[in-house]
Amino acid sequence: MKPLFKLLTLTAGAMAGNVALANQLCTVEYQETANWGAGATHIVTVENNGPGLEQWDISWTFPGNETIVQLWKGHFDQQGNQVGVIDAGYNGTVATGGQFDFGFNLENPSGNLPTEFFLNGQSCTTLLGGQDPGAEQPGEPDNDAPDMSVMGWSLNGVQSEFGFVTVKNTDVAEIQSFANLQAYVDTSGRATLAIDLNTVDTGIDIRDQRIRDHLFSSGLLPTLYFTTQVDMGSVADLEPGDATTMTLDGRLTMNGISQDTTAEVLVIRTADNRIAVRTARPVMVKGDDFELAGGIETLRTIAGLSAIGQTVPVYFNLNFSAIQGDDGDNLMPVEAGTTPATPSIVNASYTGANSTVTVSWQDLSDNETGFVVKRRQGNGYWETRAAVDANQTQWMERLDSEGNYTYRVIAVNGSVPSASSGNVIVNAQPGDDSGDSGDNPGTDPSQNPDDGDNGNGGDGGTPDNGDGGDTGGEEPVPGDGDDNAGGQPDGAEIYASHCAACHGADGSGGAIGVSLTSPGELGSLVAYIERTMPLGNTGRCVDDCAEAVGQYIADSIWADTGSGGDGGDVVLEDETPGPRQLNLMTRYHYANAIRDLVGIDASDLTTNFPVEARVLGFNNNAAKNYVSARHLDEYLKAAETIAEKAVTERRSSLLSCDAGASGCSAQFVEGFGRRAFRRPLNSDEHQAYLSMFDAEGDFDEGMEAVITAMLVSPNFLYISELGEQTGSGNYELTPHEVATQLSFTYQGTIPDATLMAAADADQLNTPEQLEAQARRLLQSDKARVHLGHFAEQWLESDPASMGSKDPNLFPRFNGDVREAMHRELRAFFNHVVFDSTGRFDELFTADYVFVNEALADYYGLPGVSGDQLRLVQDTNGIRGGLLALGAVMASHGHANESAPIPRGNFVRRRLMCQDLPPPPEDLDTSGPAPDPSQTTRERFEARTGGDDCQTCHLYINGIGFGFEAFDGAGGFRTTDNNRPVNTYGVIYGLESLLEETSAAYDGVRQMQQTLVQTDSLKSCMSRQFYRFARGYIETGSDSNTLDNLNQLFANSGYDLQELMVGLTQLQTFTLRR
Amino acid sequence: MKSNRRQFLKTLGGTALAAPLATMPWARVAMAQQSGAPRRAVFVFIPDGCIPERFHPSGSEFEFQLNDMTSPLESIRQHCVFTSGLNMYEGGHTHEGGVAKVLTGNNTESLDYFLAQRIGQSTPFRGINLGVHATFQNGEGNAPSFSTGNVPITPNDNPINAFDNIFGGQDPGNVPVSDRRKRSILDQMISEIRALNSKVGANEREKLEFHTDSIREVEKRILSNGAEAGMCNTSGYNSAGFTVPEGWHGYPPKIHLDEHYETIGRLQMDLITESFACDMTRVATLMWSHPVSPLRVEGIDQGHHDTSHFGQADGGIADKFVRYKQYHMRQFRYLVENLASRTDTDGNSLLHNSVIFLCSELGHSDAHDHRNMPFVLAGNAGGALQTGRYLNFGGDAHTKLLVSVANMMGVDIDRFGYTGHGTGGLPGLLA
Repeated sequence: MKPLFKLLTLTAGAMAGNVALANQLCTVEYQETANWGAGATHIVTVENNGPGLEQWDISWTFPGNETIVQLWKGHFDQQGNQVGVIDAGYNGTVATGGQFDFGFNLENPSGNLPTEFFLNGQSCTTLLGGQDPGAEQPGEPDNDAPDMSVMGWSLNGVQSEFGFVTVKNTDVAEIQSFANLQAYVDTSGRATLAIDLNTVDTGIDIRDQRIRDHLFSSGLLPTLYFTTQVDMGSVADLEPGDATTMTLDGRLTMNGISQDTTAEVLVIRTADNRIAVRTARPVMVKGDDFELAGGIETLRTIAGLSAIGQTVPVYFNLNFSAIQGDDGDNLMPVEAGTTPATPSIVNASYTGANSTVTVSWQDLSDNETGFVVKRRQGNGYWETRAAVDANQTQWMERLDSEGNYTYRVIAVNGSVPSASSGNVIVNAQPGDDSGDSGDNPGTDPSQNPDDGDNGNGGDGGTPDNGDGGDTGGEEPVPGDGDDNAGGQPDGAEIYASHCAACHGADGSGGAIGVSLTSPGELGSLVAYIERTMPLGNTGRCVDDCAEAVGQYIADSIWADTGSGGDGGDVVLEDETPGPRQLNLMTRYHYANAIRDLVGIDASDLTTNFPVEARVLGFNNNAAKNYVSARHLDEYLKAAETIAEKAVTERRSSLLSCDAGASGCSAQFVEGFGRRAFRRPLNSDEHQAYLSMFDAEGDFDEGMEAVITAMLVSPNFLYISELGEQTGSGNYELTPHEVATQLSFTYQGTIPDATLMAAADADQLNTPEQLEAQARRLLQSDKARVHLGHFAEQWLESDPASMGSKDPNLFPRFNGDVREAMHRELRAFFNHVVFDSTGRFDELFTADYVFVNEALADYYGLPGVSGDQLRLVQDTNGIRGGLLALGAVMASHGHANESAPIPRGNFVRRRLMCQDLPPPPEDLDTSGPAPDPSQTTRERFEARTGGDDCQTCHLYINGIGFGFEAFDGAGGFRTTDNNRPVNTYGVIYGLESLLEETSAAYDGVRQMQQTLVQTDSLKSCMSRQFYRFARGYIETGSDSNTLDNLNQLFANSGYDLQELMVGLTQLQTFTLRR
Repeated sequence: MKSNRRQFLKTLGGTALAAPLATMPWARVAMAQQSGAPRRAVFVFIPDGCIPERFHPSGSEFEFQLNDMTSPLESIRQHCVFTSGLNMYEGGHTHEGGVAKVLTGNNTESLDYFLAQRIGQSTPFRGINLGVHATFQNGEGNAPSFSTGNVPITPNDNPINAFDNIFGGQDPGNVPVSDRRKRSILDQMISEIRALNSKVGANEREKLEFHTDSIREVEKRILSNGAEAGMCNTSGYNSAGFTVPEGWHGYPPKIHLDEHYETIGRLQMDLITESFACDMTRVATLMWSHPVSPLRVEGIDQGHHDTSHFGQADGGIADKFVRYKQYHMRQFRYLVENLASRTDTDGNSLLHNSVIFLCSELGHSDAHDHRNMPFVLAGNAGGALQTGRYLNFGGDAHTKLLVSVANMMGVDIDRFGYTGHGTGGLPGLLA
């Protein structure tokens, strides 16, 4: 263990020395991967370009007051804002070209990142992001579509790319791109390309954000347009495979500026109906031409760079498909809107008392979607200050420093700008009022681009535009509710005037602004507002303003989470009943039903029944199990065999009268029918079966016929939840259907005599009656077997789910171990529910296992002999809890290695009920190549480390890697490929994927202890039990029902039996619709 | 059952059958007129995709060279149509997404079921779904066939049981039951379903219609098998006398032991041939193992799925995967040769009157993609398909192949599932 003080001495020495940026000793990637206002998570990845290392230390200086709270994969020391990190021991060895990384959570993120790092005392070059150029999509093989009339050419966005090169610090060039492109060329050659500037992708989230906010103001002016005319004659002359160069003269519009721009392109006919258009030479776009210079300078300052190039080479590869004849519905022409008329600036007046300037203008356009106000301070750069709605004619802002400010206004239609109004200048001196009525000769015309292309006439953008209106403007503008000295800011008013335009008047979201309805932490919200809002105008709303707005949002916009219960007082929401359904018995149900109906073991007979479909792990889903002809063949065979056996071997238990006695056959039909159908027969049924009986001419044959027929009847095979109409659109289950629900929910079989009697007497109505039956049924061996069944399906760790294991790699895993693992899962679950605390958390915090000799040996626990399972403390401190069960680890493990990704997904989906989407279709999701010099974790970390992948893998890997101490066959290990196993992890999104909580842990015990604190684990448990009990997957209309069930669960202190019994206490336990 | 089902009472054929509860939609699809022997279709699924550069042939349509993985088909190449450049679009991803769409094209029903409903009305079994270890350690229940309502059809992994269901009489454990009793049992089933149907809501009606239709199929089998009974001699089936113990006899069960994989497979293929020869059915699906296959055969020291993540296409693991693929190709060859050796009612071979579609749920196994799928066709579909060819379809949608297979079988549709690449069959495939 190295002394940490050594770090600082080195650092101090190096900082006094030479910081050579060209030194390629190492490359550092420093990323913020999460930020929740009060804190953030940063990850540092270092590539060693120098000689191999045995140990490493990294040091830097934080730009602000950041304080590291916890750090993983290393050890840290922090003095003031200087930080040193040394390796964790196991990751100190790094070869040339090798990589290492560590991460940490910190408080007080400043919004800036450190820009200089030292490895073992020597300077590194900082990279602020990924380096992969946007990968070019492989062209699809050509499609020989028949030649039909072409109606236009539409861009295939997925196969196209549009990128630009940025250069920073004079010599670091990177390629950036936009993700969302659209373009259309009509048959006359009129072409429009539209790019959503919000989809800029530089590989680094925070950089993308800054570019959106400070460079493009893409919240206000989201679209870049390029319009041009294409010579379609030349295109038509091309045969597939031919190419030609073209010069496209057109207009490029962005940031509220339109400029003539020329692109030299190569046009290739790649197929009859495919055209590719590629830059033959890069298009050089100058920042100045589009008033981007100011934004570029802002970016430079924020990122602490020495320089950012002002001229940007642009390249593209656009692939178009012909829209033909009958694809008319697929026509998606892209068009820039028509240019609005130029507004006429009226004046800008400054009020010294509150340092506020008011800009006003005349609205001369009828198709604008809004107005954009631009400002220049002194002789500085133009910047976009604000956007206001259509038909507005005035805007105000508070200035925070004195000097000359020049304003102008443009009308925009979407992102298509009018020519600019003239300029107005105010001289802001605190305390002095001043104004400008707009007849100011204005500024250097080169700063005020005149595009002259204004279809609506207007003033053509001459500087002198002062018609209409006021002179001077010395009076303060009538207040519109903005901040006043001495008054409390009004959150509602501020929201209405500055937030509603983007976030919607009700806070539910708008075109630019996200929905604000999810409740969160007020302090974080206020800090976020201060730091980033309003968009494009950061810093305008701080302190009182931010607090007022935050409070308003919290009070009026955050969704009501509904009444919570406390203690024993449960307030339930109104439930919508679940669907009426007929649920086919599974093989397991069938065997239980036969056992209880006729006392015969039918499990052998069911081995040839079709295997049920599995839906989210459960095999009793009513929507996915239909009776096919094959089912009937098997049911008929089984019924015939059972009937014959029943009459031969079980006759006396089935018959309570003498065969010769009159009315005995009717009695048999009635008695057996009632039990087989789980309700009394109606008169039609009774008659039909009696006739069937009599037609046989022999009593035993009659019994056999009736038993056979009843066992293939839909009234036996389906669990009925049809109910009877109540008149309010709902259906109430009959008492016998309720009895059946109870018996199948708690025991997986037909109702016993007690339940049937209660149904007959109509005593299955009140919550108390239902509760009593539920509790009674739970205290049985059948219930234990049934709940074991639930647990193994819920955890997808039943025998069908545990795959084979490679005997060379896992020689100790055999049939005895496998069988014991399955038995352990059921025994452990039953133990917790019935024999121990009965509490949910014990499922995860248990420190014991259930083992017989074979499994104890496998687990490395001494002193156990015989086949019987017994409870054993895991004194090794390794196992305990559901997630450490051999059955779970082996069922979620490959034949030849552990499965960190499936395990991470498994926990998220089955235990947290968080559904991550699958990876995008085009992404190469092949696994990492085997590598005997790396652990499984290292290989998968590298494979899923890209930013694209991390969007989801942050959540998956943070859990999945924590299981690495368990190999693919559920065995424990400390090394993997002779390298130490690393079980550190961070669980992100503890309660939902949308929020930014996280918690670090080491190993499965700590992981379970962390998870068990979450609400998501518990509510997911309720949900899963509901799915299993009800035989369908819930939809939105079940949300109140699930909330109520979870409420009952919570109320009981998360007692598992109470959860199960709680099902009967739901309003809709007996209702369907 | 000891009694042969085909002996069941024919006299009841005059009894008016209760009318179906609803008009079955397939009745409206026009059927192309066929002369001569009926056409048959077999859908064969093998798992985990392929190594495209070691699977697909090279060369031109009639002058082509087979690759490593398909080399066992060299001796039957004149019966095959090899394809490349077919992609599966939309729908889910990787194994689960692939198996759900390979025969459905993202339709709710799969093509085998769809065809079975349309051409299977005149045979005792509309379609049969057989498996070889298909339900072994298949926790997710992945299977390529789906019936109405996108309900999965699980294959029958037990050929002895399947033979018994189709031909009757082999399994000694069953009890003879009189035909009158069977008739009245079936009638009672239908009556009770009708009663239920009048009570259920719309969402359960489909389920009950399907159930009723299943009863119809079973019922028809019971009534109509008399005439052809004598013509069909299945005594050659299972001449080695392979037996399967009843009920639970340990884990894994005998039918799921790797050492019996090939035996089971051959019994299933023989069953298909017998079923076609006796016109018990005209549509069969055979599923070999399942996606993420745990299979270990041929002394290969890694499991099937493990070798499908091969890394280098020419490396050691890839070579093992090639051996697994060749193994399955030899089974496919067996089926083709079997059907080629049987004469159909019109004097042609059964193979001549059949089309076999060999598929998998992935294209490139390691990348888990659905591109450049390893699809092979065999048989002439009664003359509709010219074989001995290799065609590259340049990225076209595989649903067009499904359409073409339907067309070959005389079912005149122009779309089946995804149509994002246009409608119709595969250009250039059929004459």
